[in-house]
Amino acid sequence: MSFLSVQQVSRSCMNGEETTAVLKDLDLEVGKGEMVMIMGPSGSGKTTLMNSLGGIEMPDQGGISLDGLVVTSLGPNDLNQYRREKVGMVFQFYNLIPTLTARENVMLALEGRKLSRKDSRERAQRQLDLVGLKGKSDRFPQEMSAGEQQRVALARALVKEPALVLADEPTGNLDEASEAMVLDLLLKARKELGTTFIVVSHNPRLKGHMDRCYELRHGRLSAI
Amino acid sequence: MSLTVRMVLRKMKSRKMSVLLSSFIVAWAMAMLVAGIWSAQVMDVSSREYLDDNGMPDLFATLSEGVPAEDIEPSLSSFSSYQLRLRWNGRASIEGLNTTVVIIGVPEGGDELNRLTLLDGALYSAPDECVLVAGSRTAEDLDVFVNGTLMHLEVTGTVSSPEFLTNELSVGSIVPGSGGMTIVYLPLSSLQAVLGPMVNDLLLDMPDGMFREVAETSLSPLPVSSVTYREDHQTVVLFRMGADKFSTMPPAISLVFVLIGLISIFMTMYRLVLGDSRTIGVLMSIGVGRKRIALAYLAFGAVVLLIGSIMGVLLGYAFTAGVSQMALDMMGGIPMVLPMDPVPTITAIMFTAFAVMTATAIPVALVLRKSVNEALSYAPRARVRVFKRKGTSLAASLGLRNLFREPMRAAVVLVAVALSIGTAGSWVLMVDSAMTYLDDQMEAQQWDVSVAFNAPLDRADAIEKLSLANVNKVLPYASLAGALSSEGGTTGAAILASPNITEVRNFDFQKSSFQPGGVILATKLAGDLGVHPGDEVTFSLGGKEVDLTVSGTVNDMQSNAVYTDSVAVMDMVGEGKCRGAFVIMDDPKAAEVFATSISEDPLVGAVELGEEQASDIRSLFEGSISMLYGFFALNLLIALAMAVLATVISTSERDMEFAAMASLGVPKGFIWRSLAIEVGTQASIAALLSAPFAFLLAKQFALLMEEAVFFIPIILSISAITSVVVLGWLFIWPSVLWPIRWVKRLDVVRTLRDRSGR
Repeated sequence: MSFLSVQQVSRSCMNGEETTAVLKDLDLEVGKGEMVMIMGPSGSGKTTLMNSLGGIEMPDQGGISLDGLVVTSLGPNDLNQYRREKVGMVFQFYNLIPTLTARENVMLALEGRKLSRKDSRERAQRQLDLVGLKGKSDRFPQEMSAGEQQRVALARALVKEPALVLADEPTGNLDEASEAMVLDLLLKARKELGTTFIVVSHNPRLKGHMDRCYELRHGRLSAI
Repeated sequence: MSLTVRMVLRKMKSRKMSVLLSSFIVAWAMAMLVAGIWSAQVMDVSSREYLDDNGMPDLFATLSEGVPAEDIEPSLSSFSSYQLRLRWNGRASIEGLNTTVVIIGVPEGGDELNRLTLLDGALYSAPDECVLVAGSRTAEDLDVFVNGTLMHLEVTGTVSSPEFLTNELSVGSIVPGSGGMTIVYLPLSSLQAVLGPMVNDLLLDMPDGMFREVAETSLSPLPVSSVTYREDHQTVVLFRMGADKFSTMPPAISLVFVLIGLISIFMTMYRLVLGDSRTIGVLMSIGVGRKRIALAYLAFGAVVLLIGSIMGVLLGYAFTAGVSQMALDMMGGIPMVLPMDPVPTITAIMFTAFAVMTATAIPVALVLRKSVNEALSYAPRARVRVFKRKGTSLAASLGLRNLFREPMRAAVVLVAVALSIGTAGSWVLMVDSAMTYLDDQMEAQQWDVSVAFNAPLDRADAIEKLSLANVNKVLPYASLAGALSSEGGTTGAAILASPNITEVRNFDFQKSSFQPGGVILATKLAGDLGVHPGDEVTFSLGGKEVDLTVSGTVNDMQSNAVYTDSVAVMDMVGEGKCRGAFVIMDDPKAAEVFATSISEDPLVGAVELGEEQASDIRSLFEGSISMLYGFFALNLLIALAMAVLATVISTSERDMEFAAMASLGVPKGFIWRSLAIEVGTQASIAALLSAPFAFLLAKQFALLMEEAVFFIPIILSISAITSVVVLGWLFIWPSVLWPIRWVKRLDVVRTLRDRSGR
């Protein structure tokens, strides 16, 4: 059985009185440590798929399991725990908390773990060092560039060493140098921790580093 | 309806809570304003109608001795009507207590003036029957000793009468000559059968336009010991105090709530238009005029005003009816007359409308000043202040920084919430100060027993009569209610005269000191008359006048109090005579024994222990200010509404942050903790800030109170301030429930999509 398994997942949404099928009997199998890229036009259901994988929204039908854990059968509290322990999310617009410093934003991802404050702080600092933000860990998001904020978001996703990282346009707002650094980090995490990545992106430069690429169209995935 | 207005109104749907809370605060302010203006009218009209319907006389005159009616009548030809009564003090044993009874003989058919209202039973119809005034000790039969003669009377019912309306209120110690007395009305002929064919108590109605001087001149051939005009009568004074209190206090308080309402609307509006900056930019970029955009957003204010006005009118009506009824009940339970006058409501609506529309227009104008580019590129930014202390948890840092992420707004919210708590707390301070001051005033009294005689008695005889065992000193006195005049005007005054006035009580002089032969005035009275130490004032009563020199002013709970050692004033009750005496004991413990032994004396009308008087006044005070506690609780609700509004606005603009935390799987406990710290800190700072507000507002309200009722110096006591801070905090703290509930219900998926444009 695959590390990440998506079986016959369907999801519809209401547009006024009209029901639109966003995902239709979608299947996807991903092995541990794989990097999968998903492309697709706007409104094709990429975000719905990512939210479903992250346990943020539940499909209407079908099942999702990660490392044997059936995500679609979890209740709200268990889903929260699933997100906290198994999944790291990188948003296109970073979604950093403006009233927390870079290090505190990263530490936020460790809340709920049985870590001392000192350990949590050290781990967050190490992760920030890894993404090249040494010396900027006490800055607030609004004091950082878009690229730096994206790296904080990445550090926040990776600090808890999740089994699965869901990244939505992780290089969308970055210059080439930053983009290369982010890519290096993803690859390093895969190599050292065996992290599985699902990346939504339209960046052709990323495509070459992925194990597989899919296009999501009309609610179904097709390999490209 | 234009598209832009429709756009704003639809936007409001997502801010129902803010709209409702703002409307509620506006309604509250309006209701207080309505209640202030209207209840003063209600009290005024109700009391006037009651007095007119019940034949309240224009003038009460007491004679120092009984005179046959036929000798008096020639002097009364200029009055439109009159009633000649006989009033005497007797003693009776009721409920095992030896009590002074005021017995008033009413002439047959004498119901044109001072009409008696039957509360239960029946009116007297036989010579040996009588009725008791409400507030008296009740009995079925009375054996009353009158001038050494035993009268057996059957009590047929209980009545209320305009002249003794205050009898139920136990205000005897505050308004001279009333309160908790046993008062009996019976046929005049029954009392004359015991005392002889004479009268000594005159009720007079003056024809329209008759001057006081003319009335007093008409009475001058008679041995008048006191004259009280209707306006100075205790019932009317009490009514006026009530009406004054309600015409000044609630409007003054409402101003505080108008300010709080203004802040809440400003905050809501500011957040709305700022959040809509991009939309406004888009509207401007497609050529929609600023004026049209402004009008659309003013629709928000109009809706708040509309909802607030509807609630305000209903609340205002309820407040007016409630407050008036409560006050009228306290004033003897007179019937309420609610005059249907639109002026209070219209005035309140106009005032509130101006405040609401101003609060709405300012933030709109601020945003509309921006260029199209600025408006389009607007992005909300948090100006984070770093709160970092070693050991501060992440949740605490987050909570504290969120509280102050918009420093200006945080300051405004804290001030508004503190102001609300302070308004509530000012009542607590007033009550506490009043009680403390009351104790001080009681401690200033140096006597142990006060004895009132049935009739004026020679001062030397009084001293001799009361100089029993364990008595250290007897201080004869005369208490008179009359008019005090100066160049600055004339006002009613309660004067206490005793040759040893400085031994009766201690005076904490505000100005100057006591000079023999002079008068000491309550500070408020001196201010009203515009007199200072050294100035001349004239005390007039029953056509007699005494010129006196002001020797000093004192703070006195009774704002029309006058103290003097003038023998001339004492002689107004009869040359060389007194109405009673204060007794100082060698040992205060012997006071009770002395009081019991002296109360058996037929010349003694009433005996009161100093300690009893303190407790009577305290219970009166507690009764009359109990409604202040109600205001305290109600005002705290407004503080809570303000805090909820602030936290709702503040948390709703952080929806993306909460959604992000949810997507990271951050434990809910962490979010609750950060919110608890944020709201808890807000409550703590606001509660602490409320202390100076409470003090300042209490001072202002005490000034208003002094105009209407009593002088209360505001004292900043630690216990009262602690109560305000702690209770304020406890009331604000629950506002954390709203953001927690809001976060629980937050649609994470929708928020992430909407705010990231997906």
